[in-house]
Amino acid sequence: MKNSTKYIKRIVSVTVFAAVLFCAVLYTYNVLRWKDTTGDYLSSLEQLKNTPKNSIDVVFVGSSHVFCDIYPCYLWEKYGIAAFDMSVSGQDKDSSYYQLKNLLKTQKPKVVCVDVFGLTFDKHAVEGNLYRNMLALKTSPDSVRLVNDYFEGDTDTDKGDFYFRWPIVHTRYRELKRYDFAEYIPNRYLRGEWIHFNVGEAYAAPASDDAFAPCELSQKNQKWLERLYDLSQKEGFSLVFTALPFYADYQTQPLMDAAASFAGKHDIGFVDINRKYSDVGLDYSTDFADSSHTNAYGAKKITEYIGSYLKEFYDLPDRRGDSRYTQWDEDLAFYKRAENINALEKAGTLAEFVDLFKENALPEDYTLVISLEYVNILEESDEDFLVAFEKLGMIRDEYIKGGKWIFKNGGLTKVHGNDPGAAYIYELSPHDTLSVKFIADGSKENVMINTEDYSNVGSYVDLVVYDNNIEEPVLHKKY
Amino acid sequence: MLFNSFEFVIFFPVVAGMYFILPKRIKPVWLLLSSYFFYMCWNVYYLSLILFTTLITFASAILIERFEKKSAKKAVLIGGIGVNLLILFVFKYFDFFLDNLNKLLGLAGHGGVVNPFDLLLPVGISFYTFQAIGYVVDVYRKDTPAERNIINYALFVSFFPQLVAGPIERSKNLLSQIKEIRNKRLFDYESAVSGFVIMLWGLFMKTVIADRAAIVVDRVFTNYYTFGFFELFLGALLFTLQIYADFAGYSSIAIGSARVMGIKLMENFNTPYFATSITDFWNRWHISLSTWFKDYVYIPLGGNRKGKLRKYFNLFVTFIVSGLWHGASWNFVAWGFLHGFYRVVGEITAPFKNRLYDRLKVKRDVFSFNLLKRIVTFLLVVFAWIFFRARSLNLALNYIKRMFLHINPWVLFGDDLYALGLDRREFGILAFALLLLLAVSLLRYKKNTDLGGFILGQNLWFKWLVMILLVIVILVYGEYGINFDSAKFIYFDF
Repeated sequence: MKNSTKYIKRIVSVTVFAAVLFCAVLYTYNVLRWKDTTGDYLSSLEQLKNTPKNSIDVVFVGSSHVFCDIYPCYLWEKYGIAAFDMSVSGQDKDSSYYQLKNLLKTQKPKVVCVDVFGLTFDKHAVEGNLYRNMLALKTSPDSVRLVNDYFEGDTDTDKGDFYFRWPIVHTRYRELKRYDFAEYIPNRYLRGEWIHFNVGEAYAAPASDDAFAPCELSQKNQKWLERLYDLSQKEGFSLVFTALPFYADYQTQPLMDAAASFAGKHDIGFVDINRKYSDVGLDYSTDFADSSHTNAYGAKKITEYIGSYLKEFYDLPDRRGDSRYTQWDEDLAFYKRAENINALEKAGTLAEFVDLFKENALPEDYTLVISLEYVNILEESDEDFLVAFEKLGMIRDEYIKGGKWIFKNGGLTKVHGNDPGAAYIYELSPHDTLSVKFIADGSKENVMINTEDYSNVGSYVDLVVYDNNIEEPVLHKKY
Repeated sequence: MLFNSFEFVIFFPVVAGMYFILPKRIKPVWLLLSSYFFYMCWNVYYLSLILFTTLITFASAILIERFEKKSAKKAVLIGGIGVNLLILFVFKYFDFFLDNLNKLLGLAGHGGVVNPFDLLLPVGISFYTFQAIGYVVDVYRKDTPAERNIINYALFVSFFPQLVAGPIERSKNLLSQIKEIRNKRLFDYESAVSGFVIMLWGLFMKTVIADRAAIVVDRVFTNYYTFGFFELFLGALLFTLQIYADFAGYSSIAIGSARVMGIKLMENFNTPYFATSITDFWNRWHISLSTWFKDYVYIPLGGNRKGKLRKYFNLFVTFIVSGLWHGASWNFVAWGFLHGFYRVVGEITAPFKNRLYDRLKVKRDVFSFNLLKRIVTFLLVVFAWIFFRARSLNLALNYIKRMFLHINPWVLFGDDLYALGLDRREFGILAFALLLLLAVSLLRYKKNTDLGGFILGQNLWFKWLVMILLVIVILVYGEYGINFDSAKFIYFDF
């Protein structure tokens, strides 16, 4: 009896230990695993996970060309189309097929637009893109098949590293950031697009005006297009091929033409933006972030062009106003906020900044931190400053003394009594603490968010815009 | 199959689980088949060498016991040992022999001899050959009876935890436990827990310490001609720690995995870097090999029974053979010679040193005296490891020459040392891991218990915490996977 009690205790102990160990390992893996936090590992997989079942009507599948060139928020705003970018940076042929299959487990899109840039390469040149794509899917039979297909015939690579993932992701302890532990809030509602407004150097693709000259597709390329076609037949969606702008030359444009030929033979829609750039109205001096990716201005033109094409040829419902589609509303709101911030960033004067901030920003969206240092110089500040501060509710006698203010929900609060050495703490969100000191000479660490220094060193006025929705500082301006 | 591989993570629980479940009479067969499978993961064909060694030594022992005449016994003994040493020579030393023969022929103006073989060194051949030879000698000396059950004996030669890198077991310890497997208790909870902890600790030493230190060691030894004293000393120092963490780590996994299955393997390391003399060091380092050399080489040569000069000669011979055992290259011979030299000089100078201490009234039972002895011993060992790690005797000598001719203290005040393959964070991880190693070594030294035994005596929360932390730390901070060219255990090549 005594022995049996001992054995039972030990069995329970070993079982509980195994469970605790399992949980600890699982938590560690979740911290280390490859994540889709915008900026470092561009992929919309997390956003897909947060999407209600059977809500997406149009899917765009592809690499960075898709998340840079197609903004579902534009389609939502103009046509009410519930679209989603299923994109991972550098998406290869095998990844696009299995990522689409993965999406089809929870969604029944009417139209799937696959960008055929994947025809231009078989293997990833960038190691990061290899990991992004091979590790993007949750471990499943399809994720194993993806690895097998991608590394078919490759005897040098240990596929086990990709099946089990630990051998790859464990080195991420060197780069862990906040979003490896906490949720990246934009993933709740972004629809796959990567919103950016920077303008880079770009030129028209050299082969965009060449005569239509399809080349013969390699076995791997042919197989990819056929698999996509077969999948469309099996799952009952309309397939469209897109060739979004890239620097197409005499070698790669014939591949796009070959895809067009394949599409023509199989009754698949085809849109080649490289060949249609003048119809789309693309301006290479303003619409591109680099030679192969558009910015938000270029994305607007391309997305609307494709949107009109989709509206013309496919029966797509207008989902605006439907309560199941609030994520698309939030996605659009996110875009509008990004647009506002972009405008604020470009504001040349303090008065212009304040005007834009008060006109466009919803009061609850932002917390504006205002820091005034260099008291002696503030006394001599010009009319522009006076007007701007008055619009925020601040009178000259107050601001020339310098100090720290918070503008939130339409109201201005002075948060620091200008006591030398004293620090004021303000919780911006559960993760971010603002701490301000008044030093009066612009010394370091007079405005801190956590350990990040936003001090106005060398400027009279320091403005930090904190986005209350995504819980992040989004702009730091100095005047 | 490496202990630090995914395959072993699957292999070991399956083997151990089945071992507990299977009927008692099947257990040795199961372990034997598992051991052969374990070895075949490296090379299927070389299993035949183990089988051959097993059969030859098994038969030799029986014949030695059966023959009445001492001369016949001796003939079988010499024959058994000779055949095994011949195999070892062909596979391990033939290249070395031909290289040196060709050099001599070249000096004499003759052409060289072309090596007719292109043989890969069989993993662990030195370990299982010595274990089998030790058994035959034990039977000859009547220290142990000849084993009549071929399964038991084959398992003794090939028991997978210690097959490829030791500990080199004695028949009295391992064979007697194997014979008892059929009568043993199925599962011992305490052994399993402490064995598991020791395995984890071994993996920690290998993946977190040894393989991390190896990054700097490889860089420094490969490009030694670009560095000065401090980088080269750091390289030698880190190799000293690497080889310990690597080999003691392997031994821990071997001892731990055997302990999980209720089999106690002999201790192979006992805080060697706490040694106060070279003699003390060899009582603590690779104990299974050093005692093997003592029992089967040094003592048969006459040991210390035939006068001082003969003793010194015997010491030199034993250490040089030990050097050769570690590798067929002159740098290993030099390493063995150097340790022999340390030993002999230590013995010769001992009376003078003692007189000097007396005259200077040096206190010898105080911490500072022992600390100095430990430091001096440690530095001597570090110096000798340079010969071990360098790819040739020439490279070792150049390394040492450069170390003492290029003194560059300024590298200690910049970031130069962080450009050797480990940045500040990685050095920090290594330093923290070494502190843990020091703590566990102190535990062994002061309390005379290994980590497994210590953990077993603690409360549940502490046991769990240590085990869980070890698993997580190995998984996260271990050097393995895609960006790491996984170095196999250093001692597999011997």
